[in-house]
Amino acid sequence: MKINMFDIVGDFGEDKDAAAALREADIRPSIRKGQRVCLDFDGVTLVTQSFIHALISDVLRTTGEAALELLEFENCANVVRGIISTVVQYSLDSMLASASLAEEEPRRQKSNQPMRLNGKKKNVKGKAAKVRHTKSRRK
Amino acid sequence: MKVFLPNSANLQNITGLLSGLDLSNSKTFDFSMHKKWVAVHPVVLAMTACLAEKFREGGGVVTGKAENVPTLAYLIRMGLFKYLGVDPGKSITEHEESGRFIPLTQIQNNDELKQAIVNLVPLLHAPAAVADPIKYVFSEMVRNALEHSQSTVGAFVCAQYYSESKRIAIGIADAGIGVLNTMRQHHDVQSSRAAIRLALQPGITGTTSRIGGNEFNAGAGLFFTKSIATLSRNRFCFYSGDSMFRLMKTRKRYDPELHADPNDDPHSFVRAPLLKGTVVGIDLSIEQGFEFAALLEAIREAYFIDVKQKKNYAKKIRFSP
Repeated sequence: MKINMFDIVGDFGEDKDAAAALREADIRPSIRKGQRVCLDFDGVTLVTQSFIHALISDVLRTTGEAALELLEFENCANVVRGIISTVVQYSLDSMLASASLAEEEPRRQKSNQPMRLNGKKKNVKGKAAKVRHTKSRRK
Repeated sequence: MKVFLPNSANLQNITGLLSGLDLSNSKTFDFSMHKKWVAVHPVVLAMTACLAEKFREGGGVVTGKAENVPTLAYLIRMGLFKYLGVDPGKSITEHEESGRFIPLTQIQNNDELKQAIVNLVPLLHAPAAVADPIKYVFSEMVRNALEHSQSTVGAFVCAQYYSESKRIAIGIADAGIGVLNTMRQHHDVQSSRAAIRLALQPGITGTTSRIGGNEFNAGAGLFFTKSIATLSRNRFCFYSGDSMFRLMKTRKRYDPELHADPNDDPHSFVRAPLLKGTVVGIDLSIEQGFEFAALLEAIREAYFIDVKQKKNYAKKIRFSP
């Protein structure tokens, strides 16, 4: 299946409702069936992270890395390519993070220890996780 | 309720506005301004218009008067007195705003946002390098307000281009439930300051306790917006409840650094009058030849969630050609 994104969102992809509708109507069903989906961004010059998130993030989280074999992104401007890369990275990272926490949960309950993420104490309710990534480039 | 526009209130000195702001009494709304000079950031106009609209929605009448300052025509043209419902005592000839400013605009739904963005492009009258970050911030911040704030008057936005400094200032305000009430639905936060800190961190959203968000929200819009301000060496402010976060400018002798935790940024938290709603102000100065894609790449590097099994998926994404 090939989807022309410009026809749906114009040159600026920012409408999350449209993205979510496309995800549920076309992308998710195709991926579930193991069919390829080509998202053609020809003519789309800018997208927001929220738009791409609504478009593909949940499909990646529920299907996992295998979804990347079926998703193709065509004619992406540099900005669009960068945003897609970001969303793919954190969607699959957070899937691994959730799996890691789920694995830890029975052990934690058994030992009555606080949850941890990246070696840091994490609120038991799954809240306020501290995610710190500093790119230090001070001269 | 009292709003006093001081002679100067931009992001570097916005605390001057806070000292003349009284949001405690909701039965009256008195507007006043400095008698000799008023130069304020669009965020001040957006907040003032939003507060006035919310007050009138409750059946109140805004009172006050305009002063005949040299910038009065500008304030009228931006639409401030239209939303205040106060007679400025002067009429002006409205000139074409192309490339200079975006007057106060009330946005209450998705269709109005889309229309505002369509209208925004010719107003910007700028190359993609300049227009793209503005469109991006506009969309993300207004969508945040529409989706999370429950503001019955929607969001108010306006922007101003300063040709000398090549800086674009944007203000967005809503009169909704505020960031504390939004964040506490799924997170254990007790103060506006803690809620703002949390809301600015990547991967944390008020719609779920899950890190990385849910199928509709990633918790990244504010982080991206703050990062755009950081990397363009500009300021950003976020005001909700009784707290205001102010991101300071990165000095020229340092390379800008992105931090997931806003407490690691050059910043200050300021105690402020209790605001029912959320206000965001940002300055952007984007030079010609600037690559928005490069900026986003830097943000991406700072964003990803660092788990033990961390992998780099970039090479597995099927881009073509």
